[in-house]
Amino acid sequence: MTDSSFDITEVYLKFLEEDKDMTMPIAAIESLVTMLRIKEPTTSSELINLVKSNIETLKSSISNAISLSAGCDLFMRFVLRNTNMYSDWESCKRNLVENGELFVQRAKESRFKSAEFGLPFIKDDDTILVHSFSRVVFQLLKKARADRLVRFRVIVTESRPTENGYHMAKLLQEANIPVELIVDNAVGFVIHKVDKILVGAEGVAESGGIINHIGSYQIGCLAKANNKPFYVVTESHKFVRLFPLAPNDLPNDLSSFGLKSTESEERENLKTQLIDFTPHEYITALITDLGVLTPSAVSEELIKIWYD
Amino acid sequence: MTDEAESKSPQPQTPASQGNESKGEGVSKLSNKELKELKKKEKAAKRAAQKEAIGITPEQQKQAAQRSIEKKKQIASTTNLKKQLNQTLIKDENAKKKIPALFSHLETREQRNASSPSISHIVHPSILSLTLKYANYRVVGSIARLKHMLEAFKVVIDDYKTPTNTTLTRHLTGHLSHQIEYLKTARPLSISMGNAIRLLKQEISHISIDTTEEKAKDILKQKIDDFIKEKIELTDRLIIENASKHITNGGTILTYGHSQVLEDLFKYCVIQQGKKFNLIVVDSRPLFEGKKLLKNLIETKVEGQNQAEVGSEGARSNLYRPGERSITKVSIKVQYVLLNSLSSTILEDVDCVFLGAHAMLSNGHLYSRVGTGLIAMMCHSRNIPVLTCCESIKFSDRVQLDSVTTNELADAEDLIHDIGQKKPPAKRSFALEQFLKKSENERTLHDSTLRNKDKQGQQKGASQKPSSATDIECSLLDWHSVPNLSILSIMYDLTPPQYIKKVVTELGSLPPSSVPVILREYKST
Repeated sequence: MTDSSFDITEVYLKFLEEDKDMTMPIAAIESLVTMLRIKEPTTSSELINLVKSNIETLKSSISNAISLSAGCDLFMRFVLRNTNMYSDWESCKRNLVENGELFVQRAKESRFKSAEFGLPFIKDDDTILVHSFSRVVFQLLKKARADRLVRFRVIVTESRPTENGYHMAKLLQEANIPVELIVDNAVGFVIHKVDKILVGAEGVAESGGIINHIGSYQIGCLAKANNKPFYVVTESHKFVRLFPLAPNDLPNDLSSFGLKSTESEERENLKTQLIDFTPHEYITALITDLGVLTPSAVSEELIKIWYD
Repeated sequence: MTDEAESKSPQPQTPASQGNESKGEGVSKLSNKELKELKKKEKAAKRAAQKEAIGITPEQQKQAAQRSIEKKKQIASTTNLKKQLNQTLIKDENAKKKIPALFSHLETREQRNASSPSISHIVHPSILSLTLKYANYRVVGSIARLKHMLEAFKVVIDDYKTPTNTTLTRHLTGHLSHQIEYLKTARPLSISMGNAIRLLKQEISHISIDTTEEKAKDILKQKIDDFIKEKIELTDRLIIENASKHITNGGTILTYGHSQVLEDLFKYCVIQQGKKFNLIVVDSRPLFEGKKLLKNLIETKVEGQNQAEVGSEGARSNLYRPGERSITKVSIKVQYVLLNSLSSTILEDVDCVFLGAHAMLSNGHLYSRVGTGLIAMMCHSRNIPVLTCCESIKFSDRVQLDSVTTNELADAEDLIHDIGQKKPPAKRSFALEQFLKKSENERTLHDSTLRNKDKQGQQKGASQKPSSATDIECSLLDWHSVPNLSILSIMYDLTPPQYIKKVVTELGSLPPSSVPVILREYKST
């Protein structure tokens, strides 16, 4: 279906590159909408097939496809529901593209909404532990500092192997928030003086557990053992229909995707993963654009999205 | 004796019985009752006079009275049945004592059976035969029972004729209630059956009053067919597709007893997906349902004439060349153990536990065959994920905190005799029952006087019994006569949600805490 004139992966990557603030699911939806605009399918079955095949190519060509597939599935669901609603094909197509754009718009706003809901959680004199880099966590912290003038301290993990923590620390520093950077191994050392833990998510599973940067599970366990609240800040379009049973029970190609070995030779047999799964029992609450949810409310929202 | 009976006779409830009793009272000279009669008549006369004053003629009054009597008679034929049953119930104090005190509130098999005779004449033959199948566990398992019941209902509806002066919408529900009442004498209804019956009755009430009988019956049969297809067959297929992700090639799966959807799941993984895995079947007394799973798996042949048995799934399979080889030889390595030997070595490399379900309660508890909770807890303590496959028809909005308050009491004899030879309980008429009881009482009275005479000699004989295996069996055979010995056989237990990792339903996989969500969705559709 996808001929050479249009490469969905290229568009997707371009979207991500152009806008550093854009997350993967939104980029996926946006590129699918673009595809529809360019391709102009003439029948509904062609449309559905087109979307399906493009989602397939997108999923297979991008290595870290969890949140990407969340966006794709949402859009597919959206397409299937909308094609049935209109009798007239032209208006259907127009509506699809328009609504698709509206959808992207809403998805972008949801980050600000999530941050809004999260504000009351941050108080004066807090010490907050943050793992890895997450746009929505950063948004929340920045908002708390800039708008609410809350004075708090952030401890950021280095987050190997991606070392996203450095990026996070730099951004926070620019936002005038006192930051302390620690190595991942030091979480246990600092946990007793931490007041709460904030993490983002690649995807939120049906159970309410999260799929996130490697190391989140360890932090979740430590938080539980030390009775520290472990909050997940995320957007609702990251809810995926996936239910891993254990931290390593992720689809194989997802958990150990390409890590270029730029390291020295002695690290040659270093084996690492980029994401893990934190089961719902370690999560205190999920701060989303739908409000603050308990983990078990996620499946309710998912069922609402899929079966209403 | 006769005097006592009369004074005990209940207050006249139905006009029909009233007539009988007033005759009886006329013969016996109870002045009290006569006085009462007199007063009644006086009152009636007064009332009649009052009414006449308003303008109702005595004829009209009589008609009204007649009408109300007829109405009452109609009620008597339906709702009063249960009351009658309770009255005819033989209160066997001895049987009650034979159940441990904690479980004495549960209905025994005898109590259930006792309630059958008086309504058996309106019960359809297909229901009669199904009841027998339930009673001797020929049909066992929540979904199998549900399916058989719906098939039987189809026959009942087919043979149903609306009596004159009523409509199908109104009368059929009651007619079905009798059938259900009779079915209950074998075993209590399962949650799924209860849900299905509720839906069916709703369908009946939705039928327009103008619909012809034939049409209405066709609609109902179609609805039942749709229900079976949608809520059982398609649902199971979705569940199987969902759950098959957890069976990995070369993995080890543990399961308990027999569950239709799990059996289909294992077959699907082998036949459709070509997976090879180890299966540990845990079983327990007295039903030995695991043997059924084992038998069905062994009988599943990969590509051959026997494919028909495997059902539609097998027919589509292309993964294996034609052959007569059982899947247990080709792909599944099965290990069969009893529940009490579920030791550390067996659990050592289990990847995943699949459990069947009787019902999911709204607080996330799993209500399933007794022993399930034990397995879930054991596996949880070893960090083995516990999964359950459950159709949404099995979801119940009930809340239960322990498995004692509501449970099913099975026949205690099941634990003593071989379940395979189980006979359905003999149904005896009330009169015969009473006669037997009386004669037995007399005999025991007689026996006890005899026993008192040579008590010492007998006691010695009893204590000197050699304790060989056969004798142990024998001593259990007449456990009824052993004081302070009670045998308990319950059917279900409750597994708390913290031991269950995931519930696989046709709507997706959920943690047990999300059961209310499904219930809400289910109610709304």
